[in-house]
Amino acid sequence: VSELRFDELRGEQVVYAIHRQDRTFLPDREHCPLDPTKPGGPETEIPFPSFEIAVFDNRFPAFQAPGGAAEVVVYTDQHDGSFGALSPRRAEDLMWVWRHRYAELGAREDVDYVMIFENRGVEVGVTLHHPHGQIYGFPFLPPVPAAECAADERLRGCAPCELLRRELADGERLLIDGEDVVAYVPHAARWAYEAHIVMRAHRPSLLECEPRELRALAETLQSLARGYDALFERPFPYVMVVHQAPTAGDVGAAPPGAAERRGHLHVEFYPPLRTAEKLKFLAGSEQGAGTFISDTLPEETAVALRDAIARAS
Amino acid sequence: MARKPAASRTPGEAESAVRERVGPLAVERVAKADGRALILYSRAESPARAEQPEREEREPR
Repeated sequence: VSELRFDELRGEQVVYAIHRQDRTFLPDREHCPLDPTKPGGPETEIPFPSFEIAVFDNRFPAFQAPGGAAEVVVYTDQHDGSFGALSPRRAEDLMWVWRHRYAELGAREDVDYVMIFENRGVEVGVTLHHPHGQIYGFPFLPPVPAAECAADERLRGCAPCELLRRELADGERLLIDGEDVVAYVPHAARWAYEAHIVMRAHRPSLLECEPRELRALAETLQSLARGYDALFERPFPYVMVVHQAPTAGDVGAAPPGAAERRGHLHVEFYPPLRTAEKLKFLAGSEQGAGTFISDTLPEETAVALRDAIARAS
Repeated sequence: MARKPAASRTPGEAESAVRERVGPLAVERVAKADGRALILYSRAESPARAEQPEREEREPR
């Protein structure tokens, strides 16, 4: 069971999940726990010879009931591959799975915020190579979504709606300008190749999306993921996080004067590479001051990413 | 996809619990031997699965 301690100096929670120290770490492919169970072989996490998409409670959870949730989402029973390499239909199905998990976990009393994410590559700490993501059901509102709520207050409305309007008006950092979904390198990107994928219409979460929009979201996410791989012609590490409305009643409700509840569905990618071989490290300024120092301009990396997406399409 | 009870389960099999529909997907909840939840999602294309009523998703609190 994890322990929460509140860091008074920074005003944020720290989670101690010491049982995770012994979690499975980069097993050889014959012992991948996310593979289907082979007839006569040792039982894996999914005790069936084949499956499409599987979700299960993390064996080494950062959170667990009645103090939140931690789930693993396995995209495919094929060990080799990636999110970008899934069939378009499987990627679309994954959007429905995400939506279902958001609804179920968000309905729980012990979950205030549902975070769907994927860590890709050993550069961001991946311990299993099989294509998969994770879901954390936080029993509190973490700092980043809290900052997004504060941005709504600062901009006097939905912040992602306003930032999307600015990006569309500027146009210089746009990557994909779709009918339902837009991708861009944000004006104040912290990572060299950071990208945000934003629903064009105001959708607090996956629950409010039309089936057409879920399909468009999957297509846009895959286009970007394949573009990333084409950028340096290598598997591109990233952290991908789905941002949605908080699910706790008090913070997720519509703000005063607004018709819809808080939040605007968007997906943020934080890739650690700043060149084909060099990683961006979080060092003195980032760790000690909380201020990112970037070696690249978003306008320039957007050009490179647009070209890579075109090459990969 | 009928499954044996856990007591007679062999590696590669697990007990099935509940089936539902979510959008285009059939959802099958399975009890793992250690009690953790396992949910299997698959395209509901077979007539048998397509006829199953869709369970309403619950709204967040």
